[in-house]
Amino acid sequence: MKTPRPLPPVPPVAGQTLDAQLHLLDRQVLDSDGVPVTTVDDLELGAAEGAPELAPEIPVGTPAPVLTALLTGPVLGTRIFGGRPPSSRLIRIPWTDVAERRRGGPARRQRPGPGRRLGGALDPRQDHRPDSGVGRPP
Amino acid sequence: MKRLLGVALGILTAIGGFVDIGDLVTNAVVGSRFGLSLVWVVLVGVVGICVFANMSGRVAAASGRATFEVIRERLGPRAGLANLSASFLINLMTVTAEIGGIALALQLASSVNYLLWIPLAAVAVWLVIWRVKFSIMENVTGLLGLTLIVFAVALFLLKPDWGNLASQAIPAIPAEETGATYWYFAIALFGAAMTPYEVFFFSSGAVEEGWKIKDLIQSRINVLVGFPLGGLLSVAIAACAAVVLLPAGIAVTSLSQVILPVAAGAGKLGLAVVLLGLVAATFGAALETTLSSGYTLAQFFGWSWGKFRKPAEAARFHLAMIICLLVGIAVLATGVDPVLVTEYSVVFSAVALPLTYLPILIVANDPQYMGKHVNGRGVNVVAMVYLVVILVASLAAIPLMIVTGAGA
Repeated sequence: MKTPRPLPPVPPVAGQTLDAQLHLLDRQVLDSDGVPVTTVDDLELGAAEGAPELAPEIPVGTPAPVLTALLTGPVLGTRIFGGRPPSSRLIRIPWTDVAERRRGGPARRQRPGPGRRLGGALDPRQDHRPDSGVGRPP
Repeated sequence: MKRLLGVALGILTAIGGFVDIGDLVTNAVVGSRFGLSLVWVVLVGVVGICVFANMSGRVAAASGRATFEVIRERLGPRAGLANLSASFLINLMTVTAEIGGIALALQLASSVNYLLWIPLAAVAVWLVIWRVKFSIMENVTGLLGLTLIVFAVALFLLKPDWGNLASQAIPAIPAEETGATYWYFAIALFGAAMTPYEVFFFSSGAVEEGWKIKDLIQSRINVLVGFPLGGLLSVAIAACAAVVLLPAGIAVTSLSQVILPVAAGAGKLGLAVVLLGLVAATFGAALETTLSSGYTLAQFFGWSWGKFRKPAEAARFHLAMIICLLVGIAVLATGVDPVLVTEYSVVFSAVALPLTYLPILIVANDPQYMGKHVNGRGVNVVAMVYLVVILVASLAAIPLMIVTGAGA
């Protein structure tokens, strides 16, 4: 039997690598006081900094999209049985509020908080505490 | 000194909290029909629950996560919800059985029909869950449950032929029973010793009490000493039935028959003590199963939970438990025999065991959750052996239930 050619090494990435299934989806979200509030139901991807807006047709050479927000909401039904809930049902937790400031550390998540409703989504910036951390990531 | 006291208290409550209505009924039924020929199953079950409880306690202490948080993270929403549905329904069945058990025990003590005791028992359970501190709740019911040691005392007072009793302990199918019923009751006994709610409760309790890694030694002692002694209590219940009921040809179908040997051996005083023990053990288990139903739901859906929070801060958790208690009352109000519910609940517990066991085993080996506290090789070998045992028991349970007509 021929030994298969080893795979090329994974290209180095800037920032931390998180597996969406393993590290983000269905994780418990805690608020800044450590009280469980919800679970992560979906992820929102956006264009990388300086890149053109994401469109259905992505031209070759576009930088990979980045995670912009964690989404949560009463959407367990559609997650199990399929279909897409209207985006107004989803609550955004911007990634910038969630990602930890410490370098190399695991991601920390922040409280969606008792924010004002803005365009159908709760805005966590209404309740922005500096060292609020969420989740007990591995 | 304080630490020593803590360890002693932990062991005592582990013994007293080990026996619930499932253990009481199943051990007595088995003792009255099979003598001690199934006593090896209690041994297998006790070692299993020690391995499983230790592992989930370690996962809770190392990662701060309770069982159903982990299950949802690992299995995703779809398989997680299927798992939740099965585990939750079986747990609800156990809640029903325990409340029925309290009512039956109170009926034995008071001669007032158990149907009248059911609402009272459920309200009492709810009040304790609502108001009483977790540690007090655990310690009081655990210590009062210790009075069930009267089964062991009664066994000595009955002055059985010990040689004959020991010779019964060899696994063998009695002449008047079939192989299928033997194995059916083996699975029931295994399910009674290893009920999944004990694990939900154990791991969530670890989070409730804020266990850290350094507390693990104490919890390990509690489990490794308390559970086997609790198992010994189970064996004493079976032995009492084997000594008194088996020769008389009485197959246990009611709670009064479970305690008959105690009355025969230890008289009125023994009867009073065993009634106290019955109420304490079923009440304690009713608290644990009701809390477990709240824990599983809240952990899966990401709600805030726990008795360490004020009820207002864990509203959905408390509401879920109230609804479970109401469902339990409604089921019992139909007049269904709580002993029958118990007999089914232990078998279905065995069916549901792999659903919680496997995710815990996987996570206990995941360094991302556990850091350096992952399972050692020895634990994994034992855990894998038990995985096979649990899978076989789970798969065989329902076919055997159909073949034997639920052990009739």
